[in-house]
Amino acid sequence: MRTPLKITIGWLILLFISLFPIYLWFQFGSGAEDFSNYASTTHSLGEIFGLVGMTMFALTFMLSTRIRWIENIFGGLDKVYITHGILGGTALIMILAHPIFLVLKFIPTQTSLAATYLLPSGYWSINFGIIALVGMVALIFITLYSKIKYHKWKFTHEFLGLMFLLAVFHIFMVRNTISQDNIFNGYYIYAFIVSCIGLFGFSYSLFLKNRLFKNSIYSVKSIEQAHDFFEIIISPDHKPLSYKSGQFIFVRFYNEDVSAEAHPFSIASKSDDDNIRIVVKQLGDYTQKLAHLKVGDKVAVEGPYGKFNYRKYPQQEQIWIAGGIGITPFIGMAEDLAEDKDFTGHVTLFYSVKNKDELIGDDIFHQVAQKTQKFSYVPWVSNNQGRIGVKDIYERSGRFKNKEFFLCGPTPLKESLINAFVKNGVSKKYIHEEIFDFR
Amino acid sequence: MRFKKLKLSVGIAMIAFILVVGNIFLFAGLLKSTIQDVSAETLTLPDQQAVVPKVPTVETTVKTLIITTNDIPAVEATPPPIVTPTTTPPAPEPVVVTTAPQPQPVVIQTVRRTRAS
Repeated sequence: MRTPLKITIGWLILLFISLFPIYLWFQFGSGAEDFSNYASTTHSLGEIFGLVGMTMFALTFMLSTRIRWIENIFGGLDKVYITHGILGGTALIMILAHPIFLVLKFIPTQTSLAATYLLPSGYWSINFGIIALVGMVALIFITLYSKIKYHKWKFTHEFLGLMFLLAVFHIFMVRNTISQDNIFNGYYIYAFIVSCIGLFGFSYSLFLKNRLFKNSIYSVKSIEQAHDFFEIIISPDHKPLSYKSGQFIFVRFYNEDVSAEAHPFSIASKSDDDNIRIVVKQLGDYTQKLAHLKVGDKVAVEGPYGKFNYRKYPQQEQIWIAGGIGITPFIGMAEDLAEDKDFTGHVTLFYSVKNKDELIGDDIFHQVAQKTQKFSYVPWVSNNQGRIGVKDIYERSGRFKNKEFFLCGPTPLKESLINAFVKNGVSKKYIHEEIFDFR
Repeated sequence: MRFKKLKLSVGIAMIAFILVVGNIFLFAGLLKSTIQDVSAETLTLPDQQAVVPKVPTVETTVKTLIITTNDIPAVEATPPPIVTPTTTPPAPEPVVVTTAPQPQPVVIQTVRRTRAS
């Protein structure tokens, strides 16, 4: 099954669940009668936005659990995290619209009442809603627009669980105090289910997962620094992890100088190799501190995750495109390809870097290209050759029809190439991208 | 870069929210200060007698309901409050309260006030 189809299934399920309260509202509430005049229409829209927003908010927590079947229906954990971000942002927009529409009904005649409605009062049901809304706005603002360090960002992000809890108090208490209408029959059952989904997702991610499932323990076997990246090889203390090349893992290094936060890294070694190679570019505070790692340091590994692999299309011609550190999943895939007798297609790898000394795994790719006719390697140094474009790829790999495209690298490079491929008649179902900047 | 459209949408929603809420508070504040200004003006008028408050005319009618059942215990009917208009029109006729003889039938009188514009 192709990745885009899986994304569609995941999104369809999310949309169905998110919009289901609208059905409940019309079916078991007063329905269309509540759209008879301005006041009731704005009030009804306020309720609907609140219900949909709260459902989406709950689902975002489920998407952060890294549960395997959720990853499967979205076609990879990277896609799940992207969906998590989009759904969370959409939930905020819905929840912002909720109080606005509720007070719009007062606007033509009772503006003062509308203003007091938006302020804290003696009704704690409303106060919980206001605190949750303000907190959610602040935390999502930090999530989307701030440049703070990852561990601080993650710490603030976890408080969204508290905001959800306050929102749960709001949705349970509001019907008995402020909201005089019924909303819909069975509202409490709906509210209970939504609350359970969100609170389970949050508590599972934060507390339960690490207690229920033990991470695989590895040790640092070697660490080498070249240019602005590290190559770290870790070996298992006990049973090695089973994985496919192109997947990624969450790694937690136990070293007093390195943050104990788990970070995602692509696996840069061939499938099911006992030792796992990861290549890390020094991009920020955390990655720079990896220089303090020592041989023998313990490493907790969670995973593997991801569905980025050429083996799903064993007969097709493929074009792999990597930009900078985005080469890492292709290293293991190329090593696998050199020994893969089931693969009958052909792969052309385009590897774009700014300077020649930034090339990672250059010798491995040359060796694979010498070993098998099924693999061609095109290193691309943009400072000398200019930015790689669709025309360059076309000239070196031939026509695009029926070829599978695998891309990993900086988002601007990927976006420009994907848009150009689509303009040149390549269907999106043939394009597979690995997303690693999913913070 | 990844969430470019999302960042834009959420940003617009946040700004729109702030604008709407801010305007509500602004207009509510203006409305409140306007009301305060008007009442202050009224209070400082030199001749209070010159200000004739506009009071609606009140018409009072008496409706008599007679219940003939014997099962209902006797209830002492209390006369409704007499509403005296403060405007220049002549005062309404006094309400005549008729109490039915005990024990039966029970007479309950209600007053319906209607506001004439």
